[in-house]
Amino acid sequence: MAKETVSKNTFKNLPPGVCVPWEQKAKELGEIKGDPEIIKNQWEQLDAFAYMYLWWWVQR
Amino acid sequence: MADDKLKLYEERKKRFLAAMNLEKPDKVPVRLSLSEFVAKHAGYTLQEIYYDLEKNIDSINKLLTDFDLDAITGAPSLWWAGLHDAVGAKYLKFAGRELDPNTQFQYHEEAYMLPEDYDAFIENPTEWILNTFLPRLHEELSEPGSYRANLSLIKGAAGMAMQQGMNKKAWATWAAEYGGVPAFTAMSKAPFDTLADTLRGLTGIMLDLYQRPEKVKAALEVLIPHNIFYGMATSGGEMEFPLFMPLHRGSFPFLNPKQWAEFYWPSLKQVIEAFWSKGKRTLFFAEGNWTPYLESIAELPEKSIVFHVDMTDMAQAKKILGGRFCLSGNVPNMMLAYGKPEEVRDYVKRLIDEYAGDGGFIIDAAAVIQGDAREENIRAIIETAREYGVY
Repeated sequence: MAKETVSKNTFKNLPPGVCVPWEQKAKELGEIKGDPEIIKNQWEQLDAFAYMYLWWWVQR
Repeated sequence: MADDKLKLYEERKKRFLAAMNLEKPDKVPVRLSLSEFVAKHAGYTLQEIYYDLEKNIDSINKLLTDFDLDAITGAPSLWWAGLHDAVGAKYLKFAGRELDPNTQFQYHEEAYMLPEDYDAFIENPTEWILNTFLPRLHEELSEPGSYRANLSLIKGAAGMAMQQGMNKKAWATWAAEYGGVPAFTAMSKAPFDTLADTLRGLTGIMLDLYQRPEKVKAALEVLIPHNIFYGMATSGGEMEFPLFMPLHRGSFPFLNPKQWAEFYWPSLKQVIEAFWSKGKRTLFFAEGNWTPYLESIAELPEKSIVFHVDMTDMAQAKKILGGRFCLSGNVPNMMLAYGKPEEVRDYVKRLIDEYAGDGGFIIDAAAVIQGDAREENIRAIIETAREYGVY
């Protein structure tokens, strides 16, 4: 067994499909000069891909 | 798609879907859950199909050329050993590296989740998987933030996308060039199995049932929406074919009936009902013996599952679940490996006589068909079903 790597979570109670919520990222981005929905949509798609990669190692 | 292959695809699909909808198709459908047998048939070593995605896929081309199957489960190896090496995954051993080139892969079970992880897991399982679970499971990620660890995340995610892209393309080819129909188009697990397979392991979960039952229940509750999401995400919006759910620890007697009712069934039932409410049927792949639980399983919505019979009492399954769910399976894998074609023929005839008369039945082996199955016995299943299974 590898060394202990238990760490504190950054987020709590996130819904499935989410690693870093858009709401958090939007705060970090600050002012968005164009359509925020376009940016949000792409963020969430790639975030969901990361989620699926992580759970892929568990669901087997 | 060529006209003749399109026609074949539609015929097979109609037959397969009719059985799952409890109707009588023209013939009893044949859906074989074939894995390592396919490599042997195609002339590849197991190392070749575990390591080479193209050979893994190509082996199905030969299968579909040589056998008349109504539905197939896809490329024989679910796992790409090269990707496992790239991340240093410790839970599987593969042919050609740790094992001889023609030895079946082996599962190396450990408690990659420790008892003290429950709270972090319950709070945010996704973050816990990345920060705690994967560094234990993946040797290359054992020092998070290091060059090797960062590379392993890139390779792992890229590998998943590559593998899934190739599989998607392969399915289009199998349909267009061979009339190949998928046995399922999505995958998920019982929440208890998610926790008890790769996370806590059998020893860990058995201790937890006595030492921290409330933590187990809280973790199962957390897993329900994730397992629903995972299943729907892997379906990619395809809703005609079932979702594959290989069921492990719910087999009797891993748990006693009281434990099964308390820990296993409630969360599994919720997941299956959620899929059905969205229009997705579950292939309830009941590995082992589920006879004591048939009455509970009968509570699921009608047609919401295909109940797959491995070692469950077939007569009881028919009595309790028949007319409510399609049944499949039950040709013993031991017979496929060591029996004679005449025995297989007799067994398949008996299944058809006793269980297929009203429709709602699919011929399959009891469990996944591995490299020990004899080709003449696989042919005997298919030929008998085709000759004898006409309605």
